[in-house]
Amino acid sequence: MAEERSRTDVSSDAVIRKYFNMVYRLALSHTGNISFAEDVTQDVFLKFIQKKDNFETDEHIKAWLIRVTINRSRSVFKTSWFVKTVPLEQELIFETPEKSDVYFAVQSLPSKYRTVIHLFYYEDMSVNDIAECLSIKENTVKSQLHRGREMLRDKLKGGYDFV
Amino acid sequence: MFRKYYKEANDDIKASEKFLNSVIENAHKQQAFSPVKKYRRYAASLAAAAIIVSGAVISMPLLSDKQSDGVITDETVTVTACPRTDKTDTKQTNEDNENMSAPDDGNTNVPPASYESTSKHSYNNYSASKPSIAENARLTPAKADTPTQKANGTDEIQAKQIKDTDNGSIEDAAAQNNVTESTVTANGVSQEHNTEDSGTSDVTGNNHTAETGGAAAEKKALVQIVEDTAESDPETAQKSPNNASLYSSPVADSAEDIANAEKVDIGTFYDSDVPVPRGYRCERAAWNGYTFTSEDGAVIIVEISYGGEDSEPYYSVNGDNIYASFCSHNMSVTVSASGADISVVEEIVNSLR
Repeated sequence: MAEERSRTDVSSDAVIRKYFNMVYRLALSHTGNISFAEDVTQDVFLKFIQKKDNFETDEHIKAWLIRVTINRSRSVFKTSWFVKTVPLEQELIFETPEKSDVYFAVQSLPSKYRTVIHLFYYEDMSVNDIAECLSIKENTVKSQLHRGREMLRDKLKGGYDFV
Repeated sequence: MFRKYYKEANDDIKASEKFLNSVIENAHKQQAFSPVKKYRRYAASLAAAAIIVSGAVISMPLLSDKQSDGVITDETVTVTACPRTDKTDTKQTNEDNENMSAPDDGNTNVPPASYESTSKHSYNNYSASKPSIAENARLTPAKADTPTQKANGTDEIQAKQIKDTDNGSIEDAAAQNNVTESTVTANGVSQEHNTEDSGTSDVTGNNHTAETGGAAAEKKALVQIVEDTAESDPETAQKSPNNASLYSSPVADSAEDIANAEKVDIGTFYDSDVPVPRGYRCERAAWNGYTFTSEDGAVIIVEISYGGEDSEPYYSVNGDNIYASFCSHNMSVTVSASGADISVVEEIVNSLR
């Protein structure tokens, strides 16, 4: 019994460490605030601990973590307890200006476009996976991607190709 | 290009190791106390629900016991000697009949002197006492040659002493005005007095018993015993308890006797369960009835027989004649009155109920 529990604890720790940054970055991309992102990350993994026995594969865990992170990020803005935060541009400093321009350009998009752009371009998820993860139609994902790119082209004005 | 720069920018974003360790530590804590922590919020509500349910379960039997289901409990019913005016009293008496050894228990509205009690009573110039008349004896008015004596300055009183062969009781007569009741116990002295030269039996006004029949008394009366078993038994046996006629054959004999007898002065005292109404005198007192007469000629005849179911008094008024009948405690009573007020009849009825 102790060995099983230790194995479970090890597996839980491994999962946390494996997907920790993914959850944190997605939360940061959606909330635009480091504090909120940390809170969301904490909640997501606490929920994961409660439901860790229900997962079968890693892909199942990843999809579940992404879905829960997005939902939890949306619920943060529903509360009235808004805390004055430091703008994200002052907290995040990138090495090159291209990184900074691209990242903050995405951060300036609406949340629904921002999420789709992040999942498509950073998590390398397909339209179908994104639709399934967000519980929306594929055409919706495609349209949101198209509109997101149009807005980024207007913001970046650098001739970035969105392949 | 966009994808490259966006990935590199996100790769530069990393959470601190301290934050990671704190998340892992909190995850372990959540995993260890998750069942308790999960349901801790419901502890207060569960405790309150348990208290309410247990209180309801405990109080349910108590509430059910208080409900009245209309079943008459075995509580003893205290019945006092008071006039019964409704059927409920009859019901109570029926219940008490099981415990009653005699029909004349304390339920009947008889004078406080019961058959076995010795007490004195005075009811506005009439007296009530215990009858103890032999079955084969009948009290008749004293004859003319019976010596009489005054009692307390009143008119001459004639009384007869009845020999009770079974009970040995003795009835003494006393003046009516100032005489209080004196009862004779069943086991009293049974003295046989010669009718011709009947001695005087002293009658005291204070708890006079048969044993003290020979004691000095304020009033003296002559008691004459007339035994007429052969004549009285058939007549009394044939007498109907509900005879509507004012004067049945036994009563007729009494009326004849009354007519032939000397006038009985007011103040005649007889041992009787029925108090003599005011303004009346008892002409006859026997085990099966009484006869009361007044100076203005009113006659009230009370006939008593045993048997029958309890019934409420029934009154019938026809001119000057009043008839009343009822059954109580296995005793059937009929009251026939002529020229009397109905209130007097009611009084007699209530005294016997």
